[in-house]
Amino acid sequence: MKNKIHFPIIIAVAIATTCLSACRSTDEYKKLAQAGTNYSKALNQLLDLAVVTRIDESSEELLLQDRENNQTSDDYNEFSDSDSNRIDLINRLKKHNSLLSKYFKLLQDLAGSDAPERTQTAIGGVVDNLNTIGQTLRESNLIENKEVFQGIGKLIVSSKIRGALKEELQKRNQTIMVELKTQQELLNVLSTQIKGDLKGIQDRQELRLVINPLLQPTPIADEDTWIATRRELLTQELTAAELENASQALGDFQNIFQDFVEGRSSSGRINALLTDIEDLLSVIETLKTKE
Amino acid sequence: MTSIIISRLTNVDNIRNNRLRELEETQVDLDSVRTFLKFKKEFEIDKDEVKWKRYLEARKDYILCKRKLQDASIGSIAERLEKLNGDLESGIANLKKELAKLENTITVLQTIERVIGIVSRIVLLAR
Repeated sequence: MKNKIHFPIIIAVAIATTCLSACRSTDEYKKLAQAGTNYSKALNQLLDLAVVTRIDESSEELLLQDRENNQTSDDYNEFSDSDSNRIDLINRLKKHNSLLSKYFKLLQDLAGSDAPERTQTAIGGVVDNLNTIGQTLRESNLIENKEVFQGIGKLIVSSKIRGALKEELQKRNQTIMVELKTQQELLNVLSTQIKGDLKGIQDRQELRLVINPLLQPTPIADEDTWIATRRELLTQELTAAELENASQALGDFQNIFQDFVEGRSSSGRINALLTDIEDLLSVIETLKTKE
Repeated sequence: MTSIIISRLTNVDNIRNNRLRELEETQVDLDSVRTFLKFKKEFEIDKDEVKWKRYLEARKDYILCKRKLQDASIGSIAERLEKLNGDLESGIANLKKELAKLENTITVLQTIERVIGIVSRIVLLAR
């Protein structure tokens, strides 16, 4: 008799637990997906800035050279070729970033899908492309420490994650961890390089916009503008340092992904990352306005 | 055999990264307003056009050489970088000292040109 009463309750509790568990993983996945989307947007903006700062540093140097010593087409081409190399590399990184973003969107589809086969096939194609581009990036000169990828092992997927999502994560979590690590390494190098490029631009702009007008025999016509320009240029270094810190913090997305796969709650980390992303976007915006 | 080659290239890559970091740090002093104005002021006084043009050329070549070293595939520069690494390291250290002192502009120019010369030899066959 006792068993007859308790058996349906046990079943109901088991079903409820399964539902709650599934809902929890779906909810957590939504947060992870949100962080992934914002991360991808921020990285894209940072990559655009890396292109702009490189081109601007070349342009400022060409103008400085031209002011002091007339330039030839060969002089121009030397800088232009060097800029093109950087743009090619950044474009590969942007493609890698866009594929990673696509992967997380498909993962979200998979988490809420009743017929996952098509999504699974699409994920396979995306990850293959991601891995191909990732491989060329890992071989590129932007990765300073190539040994960091050797220590990345397969994660054990949490029992909280179920169904097609679990199957997918079990299959490819190591690949995704390698690709996220690739981006983290590239972020470190790029943010430092952007900081260097910004310093180069700042010095050349100070000469062009502040010192040259001051050295002219005629007094500066618009003194207020001159003061504002000088102030902006001399404080740009602080913004560049903020950029370096905020962009390096983006690298935490890899740890958030790992926490999700292994079933650890990462709400605090996700919130911190979202704040870092906002900071980064605001610094990039400030730098774009100053450019 | 393959692992020996990979290990060697990783080692050379680390050397390149260290030298690139030093070149980047030194470029901050080379590009600085202080250095530019020192050369410019001397040019206005001594009217030595050759020295002034050498300085402008050196500024430009330094950036382009550094970028070539950055962009080169490691396999294409490994042998030369290993061979010339010691010279490059001491060349950059001297340049850093000279730029910090910024006393004798001819010595500064010679030191910049020495660094550019070494990097140019390293990236000569770069792909």
